Amino acid sequence: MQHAIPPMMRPMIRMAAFGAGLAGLVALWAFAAQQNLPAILPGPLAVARALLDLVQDAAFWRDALLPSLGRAAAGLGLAKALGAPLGLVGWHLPLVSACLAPARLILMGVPAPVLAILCILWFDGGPITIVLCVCALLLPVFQIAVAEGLSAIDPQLAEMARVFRLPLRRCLRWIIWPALWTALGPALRVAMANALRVSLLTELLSGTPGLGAEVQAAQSWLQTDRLFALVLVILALIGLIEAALSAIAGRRRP
Amino acid sequence: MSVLFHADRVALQYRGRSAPTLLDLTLMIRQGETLRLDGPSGAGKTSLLRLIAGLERPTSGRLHHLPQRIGMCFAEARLIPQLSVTGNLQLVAPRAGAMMEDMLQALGLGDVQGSPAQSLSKGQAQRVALIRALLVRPDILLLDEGFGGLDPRTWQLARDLIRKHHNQTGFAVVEISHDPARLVVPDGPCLRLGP
Repeated sequence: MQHAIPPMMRPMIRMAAFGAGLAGLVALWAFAAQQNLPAILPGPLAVARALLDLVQDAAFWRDALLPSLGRAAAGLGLAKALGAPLGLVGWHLPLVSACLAPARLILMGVPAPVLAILCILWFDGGPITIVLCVCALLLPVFQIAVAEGLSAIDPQLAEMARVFRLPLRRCLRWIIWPALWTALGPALRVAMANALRVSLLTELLSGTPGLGAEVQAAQSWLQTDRLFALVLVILALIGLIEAALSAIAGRRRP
Repeated sequence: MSVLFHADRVALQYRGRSAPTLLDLTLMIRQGETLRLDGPSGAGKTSLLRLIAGLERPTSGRLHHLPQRIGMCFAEARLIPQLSVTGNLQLVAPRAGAMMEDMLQALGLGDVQGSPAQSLSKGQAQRVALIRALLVRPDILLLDEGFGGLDPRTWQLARDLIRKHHNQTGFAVVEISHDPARLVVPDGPCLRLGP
């Protein structure tokens, strides 16, 4: 079937199929909303109105959305800043990697809500707690990605660079970075979406003002249409981040 | 003539191997000299080239001199696949414009200079690797069976290019070739390695 469709038409047909799937979902949602109270399941129109209110509300951007994004980005940046050198050292010195393995296994094994609760207990529960929680969960991801990426460097090209004494900058650009990106690109894609998810979760559990606390408040006041609108905002943010990273990964692919 | 490489009773043993690859080797290579490495497979010919290139360290003995500027043709071309032919050459010799053009034309690569290395045939890639080795204006040129993919006519062009630059700049040449008909300096001194 796929072979009968001209290649130029395939993206358009995929888009149309995506649109049809989305329309079906919204129709199903509208039908289910008619059978339930608005406080339980608001209809698509009510949610669209709540979304419009939310987007037009300057206080929402200033006090909830931007602080949450800032904390997620700070946690992500800290995780990368700490995880990347640890990955480099671990790749170069296997003993250091073995020494770090228990801490890495604990951080990767503990479920995110449990780690968030522990961070809230141990720290003040404020913005710093959220940044630390995101960092703790994502640090092993970057450590492993950097170590795996460095292991993917073509040893023959590395030797060529040594023999011809390539300057470090050219080595980084043409030999090290392409190998590193094979592991770091997918890791970054997962980590960016997870940074937002974990910061929202920690905000929700700690009550720190932000997107997570907005979700909690909407749920407490039975503002289900606002709750749905917030979920749409979060989905849109994660979708945008993933689309941006896919575009970057596509450009870097040789 | 200045000494480029001097090994004094050098041994090289790879980890996990029961016997050393090179044992008690003493060798001096001076500027402008040529040397052919001979011996059966596994005798240590490539290992000796790697030692000269600084890619291996001896497990015993001393290296008194190592060449500064090395041009090496590995058995594989070792080009950056996503870079063009000129990109690969400029990577090691950013200011080799006219010289690079001449060499590309001499080896029949003028038409593919903008093509990515991954699109080249084995023979084309080996010629690019040879040009790369010559463009760094080496003190010593190390050739490790690097021309297996060349047809007789192209092989002659490559040999003539090496000889021309050898005569002009006086670099030393150390070569390995299992085919006696494909030696750059067939009547030069030979070092036989192995049993």
